[in-house]
Amino acid sequence: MIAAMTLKTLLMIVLPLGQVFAQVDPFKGDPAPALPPPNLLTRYEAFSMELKQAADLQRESPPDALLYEQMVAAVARGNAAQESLMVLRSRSGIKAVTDSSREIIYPTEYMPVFRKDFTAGKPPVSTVTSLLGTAFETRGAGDRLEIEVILGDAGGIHLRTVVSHVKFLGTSRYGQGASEAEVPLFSVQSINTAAMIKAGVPFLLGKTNSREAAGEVTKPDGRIWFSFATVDITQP
Amino acid sequence: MKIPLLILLLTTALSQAQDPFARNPNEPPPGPVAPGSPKVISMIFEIYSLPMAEAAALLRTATGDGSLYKELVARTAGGEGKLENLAAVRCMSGQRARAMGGSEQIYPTEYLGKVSKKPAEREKGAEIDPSTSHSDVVPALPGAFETRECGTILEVEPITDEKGSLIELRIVASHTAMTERLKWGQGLSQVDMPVFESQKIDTGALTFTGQPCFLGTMSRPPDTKVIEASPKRVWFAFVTADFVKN
Repeated sequence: MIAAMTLKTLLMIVLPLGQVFAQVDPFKGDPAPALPPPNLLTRYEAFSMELKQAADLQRESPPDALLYEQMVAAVARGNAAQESLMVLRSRSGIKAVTDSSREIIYPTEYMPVFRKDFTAGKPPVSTVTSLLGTAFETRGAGDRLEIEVILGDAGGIHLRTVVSHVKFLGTSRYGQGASEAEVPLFSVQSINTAAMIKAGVPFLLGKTNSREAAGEVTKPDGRIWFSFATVDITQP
Repeated sequence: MKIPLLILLLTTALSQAQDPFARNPNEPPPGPVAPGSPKVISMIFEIYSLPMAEAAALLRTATGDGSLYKELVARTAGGEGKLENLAAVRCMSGQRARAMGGSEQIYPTEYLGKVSKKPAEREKGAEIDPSTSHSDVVPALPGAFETRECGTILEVEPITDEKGSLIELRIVASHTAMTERLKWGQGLSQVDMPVFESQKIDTGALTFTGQPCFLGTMSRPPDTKVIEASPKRVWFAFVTADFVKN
């Protein structure tokens, strides 16, 4: 009985001492400091190549990363052109925008300007002399990238992106004589999409046709744009 | 006799002139900043540019923001790159700050179309002379205006962590220029509207103090009309946030 009590007392003294020594182990380093949440660097690139080449490439249907490498190599050989490069750093879950555009302010309403001529004994004659723009809107012509990147628990990346390339090509005229009104002509290439992608691997967002002005309308210029997005996880 | 008079006048004038550096006698003397007082954060915003092909190649091989920044500075020194812009603003953690360097461009947003007017003779019921009697056509008259800020605008909101080594940065940087006017309508009703070229980046990032942070690109529009602009250059925007050590 006494021996059992002595053993118990001894254990009560020794066990806490062991814990104390374990805490001050000089060879045990500090726990690794917690890393701050990472930033996300989204790189958008657009390449263009001729329609036939693009179709041939499409039939091979390589994986996106390989397709990207082929595009880079084609640019180096002169068979493709790098059309756009936009980069945007953001944090997970926030919306970020980079925008480079010319703001074209154009009329959306015209009002005819009349001149009245009076002749003795006759009713007055109204003549349209010109058109006056009375209401206007603004259109951004240029490149715009809007993203919302969310870093998943398992390292997957959810990318929501709206990218657009808008060009002001000139004007179209409607009406005739003094009532002829001008309206602007824009070409637009845009992709609005969302996808789960892998970090550091180029992802093909889509392919779009580019157009050029042909008088007062537009026509395809025979080139296809390949739009890629690559998201890298970076530490601050 | 004249010299003492001149000295007297000069002394009087100097005593009446206000010393811009003189302190108010009631104002307490300046002293050291009290410990624990909020720190001031300095944010330096820089933009470097490279031709697009070189920019794309550099980004594919870049290993980090610091090395990318150094490379751009080196290429700028070598003449290949170009320092496009530099702006800075200081504020305290949790506060918003704004710095602008540019101009305010005022332009019409509405034109008046009041153009028809009855001749005075008709009002009075007098004899009408067909050779002179007609309504007046008034040239397009601007009726309302707006103001657009052109130049470089930097808006920031930094928040520091407890240790003071990491800064959570919310930043909006823009560069705007009025480059031309487009004409709409015809004849006396022809109106002018300005074209603004804007480059903007709006984002948030975490950055360590004193280290350049690559925010992204904010290049000129592809069909820029800025005279001195070189075509297809990519603008790299960096911000370096650090505590002010005074």
